[in-house]
This record gives sequence, C-alpha cells and structure tokens, in this order.
Amino acid sequence: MSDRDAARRPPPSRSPSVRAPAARRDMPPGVGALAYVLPVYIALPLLALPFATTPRALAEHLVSAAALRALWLSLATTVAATAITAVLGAPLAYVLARRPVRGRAAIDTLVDLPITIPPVVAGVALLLVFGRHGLLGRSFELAGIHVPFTTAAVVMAQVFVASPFFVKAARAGFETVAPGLEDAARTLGASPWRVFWTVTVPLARPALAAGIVLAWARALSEFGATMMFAGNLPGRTQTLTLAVMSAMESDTDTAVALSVLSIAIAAGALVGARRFACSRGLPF
Amino acid sequence: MLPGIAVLMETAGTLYIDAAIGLGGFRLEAAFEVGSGETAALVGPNGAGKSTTLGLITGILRPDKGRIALGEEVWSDAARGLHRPPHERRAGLLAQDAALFPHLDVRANVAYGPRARGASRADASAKADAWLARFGLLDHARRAVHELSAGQRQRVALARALAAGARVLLLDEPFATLDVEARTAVRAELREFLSGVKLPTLLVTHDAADALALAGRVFVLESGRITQSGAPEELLARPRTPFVATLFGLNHCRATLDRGEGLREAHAGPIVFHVLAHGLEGAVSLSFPPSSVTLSAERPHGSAQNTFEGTVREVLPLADRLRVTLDCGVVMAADVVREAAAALEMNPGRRLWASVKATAIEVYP
Repeated sequence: MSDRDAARRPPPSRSPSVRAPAARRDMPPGVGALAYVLPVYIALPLLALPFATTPRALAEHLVSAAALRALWLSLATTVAATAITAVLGAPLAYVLARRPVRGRAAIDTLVDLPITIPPVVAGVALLLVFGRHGLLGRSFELAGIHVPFTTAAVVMAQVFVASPFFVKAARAGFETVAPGLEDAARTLGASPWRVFWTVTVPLARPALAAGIVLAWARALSEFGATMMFAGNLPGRTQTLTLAVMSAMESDTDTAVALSVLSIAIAAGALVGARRFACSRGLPF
Repeated sequence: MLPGIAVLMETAGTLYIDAAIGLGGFRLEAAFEVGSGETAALVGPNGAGKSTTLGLITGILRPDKGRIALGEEVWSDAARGLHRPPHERRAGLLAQDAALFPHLDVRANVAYGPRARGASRADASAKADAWLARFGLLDHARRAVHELSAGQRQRVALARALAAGARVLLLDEPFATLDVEARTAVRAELREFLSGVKLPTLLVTHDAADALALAGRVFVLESGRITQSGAPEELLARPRTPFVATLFGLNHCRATLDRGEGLREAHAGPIVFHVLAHGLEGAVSLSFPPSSVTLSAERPHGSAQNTFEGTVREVLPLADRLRVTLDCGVVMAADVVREAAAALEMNPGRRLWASVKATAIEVYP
C-alpha cells in the first residue's frame, strides 16, 4: 500500500474493536468465491420468472378476473391479519420487554413456535380447535358461527404464522426505549396510556414498522395453514399463493404472472423493512 | 439563576416521607422531611437505596408500609391502600442524564408537561417558550436535544419540570455527566436558582462537595436506612459512620469508652485508643483527620499517646502529599508529605507505625 493511500485512511483508532479496512482482511482461500454461490442460486430462479413472460402477457394475465380476485383477497386479508397482529402483539411485546413475567422463557418459545412448525401442521391444529367438532368450534357452531373455510379463517391462519415476526421486532424495539424516559414522562403529568403513545411508540417506531412489514410479508406468502384451514375457494379463500398453485395445473402463464407480482411485492416489503431498520441500527 | 422564577411556583408545603419498600432481598426504610424552600441532600454509597427513595416520592414505586405526603396532600398511605399515580403528583425529577425525549425538539420537550395536562398545542408552546426564555435557552428551542451540551440539557430538563408545574424538585446526581469545569459552573448556577425556589428540593449525590455547596441539611442513606442527618457542618465535625467520615475525608471508628476522667481508654475492636473525653461513657464514635496521623518505620518515642503497628493497604497520590491507608486492626488513612513517603519506602504490604495525639481525636456519642 502506498503512503498516499495510508494518508487517506482515517487515523488509527485506540479502540481495539475497530476493524481494519475490509479489503485488507485475510480470508481462508476459497471463501471469497464460495460466498457468491448462494446469491447466484437465489437470483437465478427469481430472474427466470420475469424472463418467462413478456410485459404484455403479464398485464393480460394479471387483469383476468381470477387473478384480480386473488390479489384483492390477499391484500385485504393480509392487511387485516397484520392489523390484528399489531394490536394483539404490541401489548405482548411490551410486557415481555418490560416486566419480569413468570415463565418468560416458555412464553418466548411459544410465541416463536409458529416460525418453526410446518404451516400445514398449523392448519391442522387450527382445524382441531376451530373446526366443526373442534375444541372451541363446537361452541361456535352452536352460536351459529362457522369459521373454517371462510375468509375469516384465511386471516386467522395468517395471524398464526405471521405474529412471531411482529412480536420479536416490537419487543426488540421496546427494549431500546429507556424506562427512565417513560418515568420522566409520568412525572411530567402524562397518564400511562399517554406515555405509551407519546414516548414509547414513537421511540420504538422504526422497529414496530419493520415488524409490521415482516409480518405482513409472511402473511402474504402464507400457503400451507390457509390451505388446510381455509381451503382454496376462489373469491373467498383463494389468496395469491393458492391461486398460483391452482393456475399451475391449467394455465402456466397466469401462474408466472402471479408469481412475478408476488416477487415484486415481497421485494418491496423487504426493502421497506430494511430502510426502517437501518435508520435505527436494528438487526434485519 | 434568574430573578422572578420563584414567583411562578406555588408553595407546596413540606415533603414528608416515612415509608418502607422491599425489593427482592433489599429493604428500604426511609424517614425524613424536606421543608418548603429547603434544599436537602440525600447521600449514600451505591446501592444504598437513593434511586428507590426517589421512586417512592415520584410514585413510580409503591411503598408496602408507611406514608408519603406533600403538605396536606397524601401521596401514599400503605395502611389505607392509597397511592396517587406519578402523573397526579407532579414531582419534578431531574434525572442524571436529564432524560430528555430524543424524538422531540427542545421546545416540545418543555411543552410536554403542559400538553399532558390538557393545554392546547399553542398554549403549551407559548408556556415552553416562556420557560426557555427564563433559562436563556430560547435560541435553542428548535434544536434537537442531542445537539445540546450536558449543562444545557440539565437546564432544559429543569425548565421542563417547572413548566409541568413541579411541586417538588428531585435532583438525581445532576452533575454526574458533567466534566469538572461545567460541574463547578452548573453547581453555582443551581445554587443561585435554588436560593429563590419555594419548593422542597431533594438533591441526590455521592459527592460531599455537592452537599456542602447546595444543601442546608444532609440525610445519609446506607443499606436502606438513614444513618445520620444534620447540617453539613455537623456531619463534617462528627461523622457517625465510616461512610460519612470517608465522604468528608475523615477517619472514623466506633469504640467503647472506659469510665473515668481526663485521658481514658477507648476500645475499638482489637486496638485501644487513648482519648480525652468528659461526661461520656460506653459506645462512642472517634474521628480524626488523616493529617493528624504520622507514620514512622520504628516505634516512636514521642509525645503521641496512640501508637499502632499496621500494614500498608493502599497509597494514593494527592496534590502535595500521599494518602496512605493503613490496617492497624482498625483501618485508618494518614496523609504524608512526598519526601517523608520516599524515606519510608511506602509500598502495600509494608509494616509501619502510626501515631495520633489524643487531642486530635474527636469523641462523641
């Protein structure tokens, strides 16, 4: 390295944790090349999809009645599911972040479980509770409420699988809010709810927003639980992902068009979440 | 700080606290009063319960026994199950780091209290500006709080507490985040400000200088209990616990005094002091400044009535001398000029003789 380059670099820091410039770090041989295998593997199929169609064909298939219905149903159910997740998830996240709850580890595991259990299994489990002869379903049935294979079931399946993403992010966000700030607000005359809305939520906002985007994206990609618990009824329970699968059996072009749309939405959501998260240094 | 501020504050009456709270294995039992317009200091080592005491006064914590009141208004009464929530108490808390809201600018921080109490946006801003003007901070109204210096942040926090209608001022280590120069300046500023304040003010600190400069009365809190209280000069003259003695740089120990008059024996653990005391008997405190202790390598044959052999534990350089901590069965500090220290080869572990004149030792109950 020349002296001029050395002069351009920032002065050496006293802190030992500061890293050397990235380009100068030694790596085990081969790691650099291996690092690029996975991105290529992910990018290829994603790029293959738009190339399998033309903009004109894309537009044509997307405006078909079935596609529009699936798109609309997906948007409506995911927005509803995300709203429910946020309303019920925020209090849970706040309690986990603030209170030394008994059995916290157990609650943590329980809340995270929907991430790891197969969605199809989640769908079966939901049926066992809310189905016609289910644990709660029997009482519902007596009250004239029928849950499975309705649009409500779609939303319920989405809430089940998507909630951990919001709760994890929201909890991390609430943990960054210093309790001293909330105490200060209380002494200034703010009621607990006012403190929550004017101090806690604004300070946790980047994490909450990131959590909302992630939960929403997970709800949008939901397939297995919905399939089992809500079925695949066009216009009522057939969401974008279910429509892709149905279309694959008859009309590949529509399936490709719907897939391209899904990728666009997912990429948009991820970029959005990154933006929010980066502004606060949160891990996403 | 600024003339006329006091006029804007209502006199609230005496802050009265006689309450207890258990937190895990720790138990705090605090009982003291701070009069209207009085500044009292609450000093104590880390973990003594200072923050817990503030929590009880602000209402963030709920006592399981006793009462807290401001004037006629009862804030907590465990026996009656009464607990006013923090937002109804208006105890102005000045936290160590000022605890300004980072998502709000300076003006919105000061306007927070009036807004919380129902003022319109415009009224709250006007009120905030009035307080900022009084503290000379109006030029900074639109600034983000992280752009302010530590001293400015403390002033904004004070303005914010007063704008919220604080009826008690709780200053929690307000100088802890300031560097030495700012500390002196802010302390002087605060002293002037507090002289015009009509509210009960409690200053939490672990620095004797803060207490001496600002407080008319000092409450010493150790392991959850008030161990001594009084004017700073009183504590300085007659510290009752090793902590208070150390706070003011004195040696202290408890001893048992023999009967008699004139030169008498005081048994302090394994060693015996010879002291002058009249009209006292039984358990007493002994205190003497480090400057009254002389050290020598050999057993001294002088006029000192007290000589003890001990082991050097620590040597701390001060401006013009060394402070040597010596364990003679009772731990005591001795101040030695540098030249003498060099001659004595003062290192931890070395055995030395300490001498103290009987007349240098203060004896009190």
